[in-house]
Amino acid sequence: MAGLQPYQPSASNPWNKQKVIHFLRRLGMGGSPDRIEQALTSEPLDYIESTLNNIKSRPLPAAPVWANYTTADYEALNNDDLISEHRQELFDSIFTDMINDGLRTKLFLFWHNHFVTELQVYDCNKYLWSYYFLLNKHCLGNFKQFVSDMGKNPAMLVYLNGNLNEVGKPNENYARELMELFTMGENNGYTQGDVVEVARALTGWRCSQYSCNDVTFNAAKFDNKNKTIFGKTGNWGYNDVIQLIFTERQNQVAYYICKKLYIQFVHHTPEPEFVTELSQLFIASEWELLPVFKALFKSSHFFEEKFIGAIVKSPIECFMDLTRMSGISQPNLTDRYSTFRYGSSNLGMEIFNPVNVAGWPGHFEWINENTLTQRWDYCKTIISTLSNEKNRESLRQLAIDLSPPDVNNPDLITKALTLHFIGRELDVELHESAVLYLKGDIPQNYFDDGTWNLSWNEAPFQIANLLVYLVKLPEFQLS
Amino acid sequence: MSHQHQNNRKGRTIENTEAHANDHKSWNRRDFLQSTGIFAAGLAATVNGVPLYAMGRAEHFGPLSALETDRTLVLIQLRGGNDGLNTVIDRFNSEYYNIRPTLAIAESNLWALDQKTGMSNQMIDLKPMWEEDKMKIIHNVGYPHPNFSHFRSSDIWATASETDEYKKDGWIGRYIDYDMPAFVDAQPTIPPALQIGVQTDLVFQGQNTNLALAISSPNEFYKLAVSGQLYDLSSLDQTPADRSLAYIRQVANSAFRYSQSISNAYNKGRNEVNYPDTNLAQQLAIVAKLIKGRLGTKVFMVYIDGFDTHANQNNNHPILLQRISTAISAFYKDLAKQSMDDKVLGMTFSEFGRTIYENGSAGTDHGTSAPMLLFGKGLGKGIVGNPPDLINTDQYGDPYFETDFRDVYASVLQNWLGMSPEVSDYIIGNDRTPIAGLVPVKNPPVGSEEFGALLGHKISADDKDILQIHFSIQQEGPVILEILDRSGQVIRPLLNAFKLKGSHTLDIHLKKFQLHPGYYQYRLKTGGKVYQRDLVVL
Repeated sequence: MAGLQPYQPSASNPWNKQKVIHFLRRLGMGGSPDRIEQALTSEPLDYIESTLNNIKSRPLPAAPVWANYTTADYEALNNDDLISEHRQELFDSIFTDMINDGLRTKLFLFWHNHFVTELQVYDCNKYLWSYYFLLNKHCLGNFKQFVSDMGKNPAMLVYLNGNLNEVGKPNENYARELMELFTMGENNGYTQGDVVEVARALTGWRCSQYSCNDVTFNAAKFDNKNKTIFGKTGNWGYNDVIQLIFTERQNQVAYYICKKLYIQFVHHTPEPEFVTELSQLFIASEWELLPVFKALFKSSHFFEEKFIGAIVKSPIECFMDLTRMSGISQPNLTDRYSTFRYGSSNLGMEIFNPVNVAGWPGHFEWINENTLTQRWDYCKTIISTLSNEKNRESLRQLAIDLSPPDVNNPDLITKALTLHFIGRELDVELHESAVLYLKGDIPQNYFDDGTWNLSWNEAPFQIANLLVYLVKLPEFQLS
Repeated sequence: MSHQHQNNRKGRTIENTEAHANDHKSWNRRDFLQSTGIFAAGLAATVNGVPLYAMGRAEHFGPLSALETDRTLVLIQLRGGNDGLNTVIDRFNSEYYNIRPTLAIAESNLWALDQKTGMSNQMIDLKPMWEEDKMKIIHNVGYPHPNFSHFRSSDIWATASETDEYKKDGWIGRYIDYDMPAFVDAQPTIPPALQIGVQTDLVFQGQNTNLALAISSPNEFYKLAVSGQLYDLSSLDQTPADRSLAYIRQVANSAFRYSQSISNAYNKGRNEVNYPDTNLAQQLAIVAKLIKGRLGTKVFMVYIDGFDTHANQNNNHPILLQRISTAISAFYKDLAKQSMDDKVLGMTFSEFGRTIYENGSAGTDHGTSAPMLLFGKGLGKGIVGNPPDLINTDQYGDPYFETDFRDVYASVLQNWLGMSPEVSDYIIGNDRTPIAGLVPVKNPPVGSEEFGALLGHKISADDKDILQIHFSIQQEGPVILEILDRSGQVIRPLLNAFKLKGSHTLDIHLKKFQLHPGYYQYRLKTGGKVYQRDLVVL
């Protein structure tokens, strides 16, 4: 049942807007209207294939001028605000990327929450950039290479004390998380003895958050003796550890990572059979992520109705979904960047500073009475931007494009906008209220006699009014 | 009489469809409807990250007002622009009969309010109220430089602004802002204002949050009152998607802080008369039930749509008048059963009146002023002002208004609700004078014991990084002003100084004070008292 059979559209199970939105929300951050349109007119499996290929072939983020600034460089510039200005620059570029594409940035966030580091610990812009770049580079690359590069990344070396791990003074922090969180899963094929020995094998890699210098390997700090890992003894070094994990414990790694992909992209209770098949593919593809992602997103299982709307959006997904679905162009949205950054932070998702090494737990943990009501308020702020003077014509055009041609029936327009922004139809009672919100304060006689239509000056505000209602619906919090 | 009525304002007749549509397009609508709908509940406070709802809901932290006054205001919105000339009839004005050959209400079809004034027989249900001194009429209410767009004019009435002044919060919203201190330890569990009907207007919109509750229809209200929850959980399945939806619905239901108080009041209050089967009457029946159930909400708003009578007005308008009259009559009879009809002031308003002449479709187009009707035991009987002068009109042929609606608001705020003139000025602008004797004066006024008042805050018009906090103190003395985070910790002291009696404004540079977008409160301490309000930095 829950295997990797690819989805095939049929009369009873058509490739429709609901499925397109499901795909774009789960893989990315919701779909812009033209992207949805493009998907609808494509053959689904081809579309998924090319979408993932495109993420992989996108040029990597261009390095900012400060990408290599050390502490000394910043001191020489003698401007206390520069460090935080540069961080803001990075945030701005991330939000711009999210609005324009939303696909790779979603994967960046996923891997950020897997290979967790906290900026407040390593506190160095150069390391921040290096970490950010690495996550983008490997987001659909080779997972084994990803793990290998991550352990030598300065942000990670500082965050999990790898840079303090040296012969005679081992530090087990990274060794443990490497197995427990990054590759195999807790108590899944390693012992405390393995942790000690892996730590010894990883000794010698140095960098300092105080100077923000480059990462170097200092052979004098390396524990140059035999270690026994997973029962195998040798004078293992860094690369050997990676090799041992991915050969001796390949089943554990593959299952653990595929299970995590399942939880992130399908549903929080994994189907073991599906995860097992996916992990076999992962091993067979020699740890390439792209084929695994393709199989997952093409699967008929992924498109099952019961999973549509089964995951709670993260704060950023909530904001971006609303923003991107509006189709309003990125330059007209920059006044909301501070809402994206600090709003998501207030809702428990401070990008580059997850709550702990295990990352944001996500799903139900995102929502309580407090964060739910705050989401409404932040979404309202976003809607006010979507309907401001610069954007209101785009908002009107969106409603015109989504509605059946020449329609001036508020019921049908509400249906179209609801499907677009919620991704599914509403219960009858909720729909009836939604129509009232679209009608807004237009006297009823203008609907009765058919004079009202979307070209009215009022229309963008009516649409905004409906959006305010929609973002408060529990349905809107779900992806 | 040789007077020639002019109709040279484009877009006034429905035949001229394009121009009429332009009537709706001719202005730049407010930036954004700040309506928040049913979830106006705002934020739950936290202490050290623990949301306070877990610490119990303190019912008595409802509107302070509930403790201070038992007076209630019920606004009755006539949507579409009510025809004032046919609502309150100047019986012996021959010009009225001249210019309205088909629409004028004949002497034989009205009842007399006094020797000069009458009301259509469709409104006969109001006659006992008039005779028992429970009703007042204010003739010819409007504002200078009237706007003829439904929406802009509704906004002007809602925000109490000048015709060229664009405010984003409503007069009742500002009143609630003023009246509701920010509670660090618990949010109110009683809606300070409640509206039946989709909240699309600005009347209840406050500066940051909208504490008012809007319920889109009587049906939705009954569902809420009976089940005590906003969203249904019973119809959901056990699929992953439905289980997730159930979780969020549950959180939303419990975040809806007003459900308990509404349910309680609804179960406690009873309708003791039969209401007509009209939407307005059903809305007022709910309001009566909640008032009698001692909900404690200070302001209610109900509506009746359909007054935009461009064509065949005689088919619609008389029915609408009848609905108003029967609904209000039932409402006050119901309140009288518990002797609460002197505690509730009812007031009608509409975005504008209509043209004094008939158009070519046996209707009337968007006009200017119109009468307001006030109801309540103890009001006395009376007609304020004069009927509109139908001869000396403005360049468009519309009468000049006599009473500014903001003076009516001033009467309500200062006399009925007992606000000080200073607070009233803050809410509806300076230089507004209550109409003497219009409504019973509250004695003693609210806040007469107070030393200070936090009047509000706004972003400076000149610099969006500057936040201006306005406060006033009644006695000179030391004043402390500080900003708190959501857990109630003081994070930024703003002011600790000796201040003279009077109003003051403090400019705060948001970036320098590192006030990132988020939720805060600010607090004024003076004369041994503490005043606190919410602050949202966006």
